[in-house]
Amino acid sequence: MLVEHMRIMFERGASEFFEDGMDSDFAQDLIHSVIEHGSAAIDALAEYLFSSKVNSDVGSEALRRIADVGDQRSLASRWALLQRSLTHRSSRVRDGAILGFAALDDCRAIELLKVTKTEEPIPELRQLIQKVIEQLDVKHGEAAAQG
Amino acid sequence: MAKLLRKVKKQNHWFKADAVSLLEKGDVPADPLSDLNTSQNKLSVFQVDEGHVNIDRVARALALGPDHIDNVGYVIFDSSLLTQASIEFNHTYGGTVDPVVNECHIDLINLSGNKLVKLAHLILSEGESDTILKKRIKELVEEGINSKELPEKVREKLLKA
Repeated sequence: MLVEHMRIMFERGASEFFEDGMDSDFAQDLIHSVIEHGSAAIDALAEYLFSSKVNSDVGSEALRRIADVGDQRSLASRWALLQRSLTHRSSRVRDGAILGFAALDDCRAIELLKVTKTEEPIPELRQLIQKVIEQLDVKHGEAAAQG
Repeated sequence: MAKLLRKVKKQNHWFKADAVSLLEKGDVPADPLSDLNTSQNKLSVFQVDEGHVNIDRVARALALGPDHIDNVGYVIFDSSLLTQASIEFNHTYGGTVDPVVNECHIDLINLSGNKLVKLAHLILSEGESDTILKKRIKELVEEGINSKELPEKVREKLLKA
């Protein structure tokens, strides 16, 4: 049932044009689904992302947006999906995963991102990963200074 | 030579490696063209000059246009590419909340489909793309409000971000 709901949501998402800073019906539906169903919604998203039917723009937007959900119960599964998606075959999906980690703003991702950067073939994405690492380094430094 | 900046919907439309096979055939992927959407055959860009207004300041002003503050993706290219694409331009006052940025606004004018494809090809071949992360944009907006470079009214958008 949930997988079917998510499939319909992703198909509808494919007709939208996503833009940084602009609200989308897809993002709102996705966030509601994650809040309501937690890790089960993330599992359904993972099934879609790693299927042959994935639309890379929808997948990228989904990864970027699940980081905005302030639901601690699903954090581990969201983190795991973002991590897995860092090596997705689509550069756009990887872009969404990197931006997802930027939005999570969690210093524990620093080492993971450093390794990912060495394996990333797209120069623009290596540059983006470096920016996220620097953002997290600053936060880590501030946290250390506060004791 | 001046650099020109165009805000894009998503930087990932502009990854060179994803475009190279079409560029070699003299073509371009279609998705970058969605970032070059014209109105009355005009396209809005901003002149970026370290001595006058820098990329961060332009990106900060453009970040305040959409629904909410977010990452800002952009392409940046040398103004000499306009000559290569036979594109004319006019300096016009921009529509952002930052008057200094507005002074750096340029309309590319009398554009045609062929000229846009040529421009996209040149940007993908010789220009660069980048993203400023949302957290940095929020810092820039905060700094802009505190220094009075941005009006106090944009604080509302900052609080929602």
